[in-house]
Amino acid sequence: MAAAAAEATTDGGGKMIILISADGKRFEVTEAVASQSQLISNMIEDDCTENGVRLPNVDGDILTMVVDYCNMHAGDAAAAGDTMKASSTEEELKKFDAELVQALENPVLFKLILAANFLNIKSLLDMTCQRVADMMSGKTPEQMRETFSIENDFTPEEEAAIRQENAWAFDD
Amino acid sequence: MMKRKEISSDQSDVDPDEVVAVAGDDRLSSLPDDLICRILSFLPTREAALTSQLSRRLAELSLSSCCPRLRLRAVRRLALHTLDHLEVLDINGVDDLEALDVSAPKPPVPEPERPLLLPPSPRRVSRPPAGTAATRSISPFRSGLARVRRLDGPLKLAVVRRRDQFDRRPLHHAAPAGLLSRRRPSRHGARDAQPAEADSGGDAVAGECEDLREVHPFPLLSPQGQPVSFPPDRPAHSVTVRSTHHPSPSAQPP
Repeated sequence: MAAAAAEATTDGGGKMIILISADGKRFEVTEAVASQSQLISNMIEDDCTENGVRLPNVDGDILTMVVDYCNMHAGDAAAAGDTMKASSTEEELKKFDAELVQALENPVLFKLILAANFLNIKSLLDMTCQRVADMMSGKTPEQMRETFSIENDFTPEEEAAIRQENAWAFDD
Repeated sequence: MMKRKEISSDQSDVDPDEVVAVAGDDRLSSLPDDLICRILSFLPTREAALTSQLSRRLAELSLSSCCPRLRLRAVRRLALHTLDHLEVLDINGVDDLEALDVSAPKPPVPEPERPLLLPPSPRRVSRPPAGTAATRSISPFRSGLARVRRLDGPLKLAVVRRRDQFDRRPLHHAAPAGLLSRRRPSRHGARDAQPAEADSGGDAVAGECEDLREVHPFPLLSPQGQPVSFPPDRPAHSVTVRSTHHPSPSAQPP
């Protein structure tokens, strides 16, 4: 079944790859879409995608987002064989990215970071890391701790020492 | 556009209870080191430094390891000691930087064709601390080894290196340059209060830190010993430095 699907082609041309999430969800994507993941791109080169690609540390809901993202960003690669359909314009892409990343809440955002890292999709990784950085930006350490539920494991003395060391960062 | 087909969706979407359960978890700290570093690298350096107060783990990461990209705003003096390669030091938007001191294990080979190099100071040449023979200062204000690109106005310093270590002591307490000894013999005391540093060699780097205050005072001198001319509308401590001359590597001992 998977082998047959892997041989199938789409109107866009190119082989289809099946991605299988940790919870067993299956996603059929074109090679162009899948190969935005450096991990999968390497697997395609090595010809080991025929039975589907199992991604044991990516949940289905996260993989849905990743695949959506890759579909959206496959424009450049796909446009070569698909001249009639204009690929997504840059503005559309930016809008899509902004909406995707803005909508992310804490746990999902970090899962997406891990998935982007595992799949090695640099643009998605940068985007999601930037989002976390944005969430930290402009906050006091206390606010950051609250935002990310970070436990303060310093002793009061250590905290004072670090605080003093960072005095420059507190000056405005 | 959407070629994705969900072939089977026997499992429904995320269980809402599960989300609630993990929402309180410290997801940031659950990330591997390199990802935390990556996130920190997107923060302005000042804010990245603030994260050192969040927890021991973040203190380790933000203080002693990697911020491949430094983004600085409103810093007057900076001593930067790289352990490895710093990719970009972006001091765009810093208009009142008084002193900048960068050192790295392997300074980039000067490229004569680079048009914008900061001039070396004939007065100050830093020497690596004992045991770090490969390290020497590439302070652009002293050696001219660091490559500095002029952008629209402010400067971008691209020392093509990665990971860095920079001096976080309160810099505004530094006494006027030139009045102090060249190098502090010991490490920063405050560093001892830190948790064990990461394996990335932060310890070694801390030992290499020179005192920021040794950065020589302005005005800068050109390689010929002439005072460097600044644009008239800019104060001398601005980082905009005119130099058309490419200096020779100033590794010579004093």
